[in-house]
Amino acid sequence: MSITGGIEESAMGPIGSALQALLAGDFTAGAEEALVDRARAGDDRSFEALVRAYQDRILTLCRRMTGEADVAEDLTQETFVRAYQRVTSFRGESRFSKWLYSIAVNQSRMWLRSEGRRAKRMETVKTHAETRRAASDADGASEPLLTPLLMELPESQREALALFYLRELSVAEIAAVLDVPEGTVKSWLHRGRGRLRRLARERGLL
Amino acid sequence: MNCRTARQKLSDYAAGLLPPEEKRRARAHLLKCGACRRELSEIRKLDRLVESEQASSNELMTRRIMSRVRETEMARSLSRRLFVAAVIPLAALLAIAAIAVVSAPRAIGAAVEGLNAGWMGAMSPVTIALLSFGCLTLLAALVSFVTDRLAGILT
Repeated sequence: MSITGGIEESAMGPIGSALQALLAGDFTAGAEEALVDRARAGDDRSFEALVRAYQDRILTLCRRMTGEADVAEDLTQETFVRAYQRVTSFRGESRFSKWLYSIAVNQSRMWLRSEGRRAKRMETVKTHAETRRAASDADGASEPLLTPLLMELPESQREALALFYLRELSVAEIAAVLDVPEGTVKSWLHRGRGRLRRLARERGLL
Repeated sequence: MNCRTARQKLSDYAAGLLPPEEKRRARAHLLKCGACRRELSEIRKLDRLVESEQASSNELMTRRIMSRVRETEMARSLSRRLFVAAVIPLAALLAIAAIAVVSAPRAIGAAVEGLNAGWMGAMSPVTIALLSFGCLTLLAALVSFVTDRLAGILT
């Protein structure tokens, strides 16, 4: 089923065209505003259209932040639940996507900081890349190879890179999401990408 | 710009983070240095690989999310209704009970002393207390019913 499949033909009018624009990578304020305004007014179908437009990116972001596919799915759901509860308070001062990514980052941070999980993660992280690579070699599946390496970066660098690789936000917007100065983000991106490259070389991924 | 300086800048160059002047100098160096071009090529390969590892969801995921959103919203709505339906009548009952506790001894005393003529004066204090309790319970039930209806309308 296509990603717009859940929206009936009769409803494809304004909601459908705004969703099509977002799915086509048109993140201009106009395309977002059309859906966000309706969602704020309590239109569930518009909110659902926003879910369709952003769920892959939120899922990708949470996966890069946590390194866990199952957890990323839960966090994606939680992100949209929070967004639904707060959408009436979204004032449109920033892009909706940036606002949504802020919620996802906070959800991921909360998960990462939950008691006991950090230790568990550190135990498994070292074997993640090798295990997944072996599995990928064995069955030809396209398991992510580089995403697990992000877990070996400091949290600040990982957050900056996870947002950067969405290729949607400017450095200024990433800085706003992470609530740090732009210069700090640039520094995290520089160091993070350098370190990621070294790790990828060590694992023979480059 | 020499190779050492250029290689420190290549990552930012690929990410589009260099200021215009530094970008121009880096580009000029890359035009004449094959080794740095290979370095840049590796950086871009890394970027492509990371970007290609996008998680992809499907219609089922959308349904799960919307189902979770609606469940959470229903739970919130129910808790609001329960609050209105339970806490407000309880507060009303407590207020009525407080008034009764304050005023009952005087009324009972007056009844006992026969100051009130007729049926009231003929009743024992125990009967009056039981009647008062019954009236309060009925009143509380009425308040609960009305507030529940109101909660239904509001939510």
